[in-house]
Amino acid sequence: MTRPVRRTATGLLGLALVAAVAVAVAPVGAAPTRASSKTLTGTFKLTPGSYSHGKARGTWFRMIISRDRPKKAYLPNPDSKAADRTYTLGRPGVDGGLATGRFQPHPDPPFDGKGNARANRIIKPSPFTAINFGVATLKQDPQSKTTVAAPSARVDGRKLTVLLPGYTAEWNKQFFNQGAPKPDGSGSPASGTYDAKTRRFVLTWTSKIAGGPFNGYSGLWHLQGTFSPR
Amino acid sequence: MGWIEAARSSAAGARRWSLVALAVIGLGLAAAPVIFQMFDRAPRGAEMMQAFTPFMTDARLNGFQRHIRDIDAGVREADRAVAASLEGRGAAAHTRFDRRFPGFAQFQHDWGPIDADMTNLLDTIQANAGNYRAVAALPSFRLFPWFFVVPGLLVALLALAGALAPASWPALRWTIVAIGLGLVLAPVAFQMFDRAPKGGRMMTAFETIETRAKVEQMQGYFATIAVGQGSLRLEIVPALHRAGLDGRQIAARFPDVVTLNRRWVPILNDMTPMIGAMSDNVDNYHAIKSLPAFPLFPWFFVVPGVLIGGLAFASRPRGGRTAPAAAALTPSQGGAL
Repeated sequence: MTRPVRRTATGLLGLALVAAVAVAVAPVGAAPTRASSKTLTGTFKLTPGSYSHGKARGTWFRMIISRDRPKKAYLPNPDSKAADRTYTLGRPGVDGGLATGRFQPHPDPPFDGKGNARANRIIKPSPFTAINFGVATLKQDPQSKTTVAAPSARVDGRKLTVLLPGYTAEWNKQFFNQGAPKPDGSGSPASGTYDAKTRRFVLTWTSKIAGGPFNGYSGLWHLQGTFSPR
Repeated sequence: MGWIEAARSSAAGARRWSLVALAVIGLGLAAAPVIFQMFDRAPRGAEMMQAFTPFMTDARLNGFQRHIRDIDAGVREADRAVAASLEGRGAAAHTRFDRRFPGFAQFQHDWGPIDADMTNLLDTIQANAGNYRAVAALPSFRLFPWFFVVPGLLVALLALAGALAPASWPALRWTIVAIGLGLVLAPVAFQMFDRAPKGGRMMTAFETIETRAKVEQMQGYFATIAVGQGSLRLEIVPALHRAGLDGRQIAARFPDVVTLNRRWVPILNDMTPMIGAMSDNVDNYHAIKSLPAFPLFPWFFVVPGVLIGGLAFASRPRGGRTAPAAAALTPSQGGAL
């Protein structure tokens, strides 16, 4: 009688241990699944950013410097091509845009001698106050050293949700995690709309900068274009 | 015979109390880092010291001062000579210049207070570079808790061993005396009486610098300077070109503007990591600030060291120098006395 009980207890203990280990090693940012949603694996090809009639379109970035104050203020980028220089317009990189299901790391070394970022897969490096910034999706966040999952996307009806915890802005020999959610799981995923027929998408997210010279500021990202499945 | 027994009993009692006192002091010493949360705070101090190391050299600090001078010279020249060259002389002409280049006008307007504040900040940091280096020359902050825990536990354990095995006390006693002496000498060996007060002065000087508000102000300065320099580089100099000046003429007539534009990337390379280091270490600074004041630290070694060494030295064993003399007294002699 005691043996089966002991076996059961040992079995349960083993199961609990396996479950605990599985939870512990699961990378941050693994996509939640829903029966009605569909995974999008491929590349979100980017439309170049543009600005006209007081409105930015396509791919752009802004840096929010007002922290948690209700009235938003943005850091102007003198090198911006937009009339409103708080918008930095993006152009697609050599991969055409943001890939899901894989990382798009920076080259080695990530910067040239002047601190210009060399990461050019997602967007082309573009000047931000005279020094080029680039973006990459990295397996290990250089700031927190956390290992994260590759970007993943799901669409539920027209609602697009993208998890990209390793999304990193690179500038002046410094790394700024711009993940959604952050590598520690805080914050929200990137969200937007997706038209299954035309494959056109709009994706936005805000990610707070933790550490470094822009600590407390937030990046506001707007990616737009057409999804290209793998 | 009676007084010999009494003397022996009294000596044993005194030794017992010495051992208890030693154990208490040892445990107190070992517990001090826990009480002061040194295991959390001291590594943060080490982190801060390490983060500031690249910026605290004379060359780097002089470089920062040069950056400020370069920006100041460029702003002044653009506001005067360049403005006059593009729009003519007089208040009305300058107003036109300001309207034409609002990003630079705002920068020029804000620059005076920024210059004064940043110069003051850099002067403070530079004045404390020696103090910083004195603290940096101390053993790593990470080790500090162990400087209390290890001798403290050793003393407590040896005192316990002395109580449990009185025969071992003569040897143990000298070990404890040596530990006490080590504690007294450690601050001397590490020049803590000189370096710790310097660390205290550095911590006081950085009190107004290592705050979240100050860092945010510096971040704001960066935005203002970046926008203003951008206007100079991307609007004003191209306007000079359009006015018919070539690069050589601009360099000859407006050398400070050209120098600022040429040196802008090195300035960014240098200044933004410093703002980053300041920002990243606000919490670390406050963690160390919560520790007891730096100048007290040598005394945290000396006082327990003297107590431990003194108690162990005074706690002579029964079979020690006094005891044989007492033992030599036979009962009859004792009785005769």
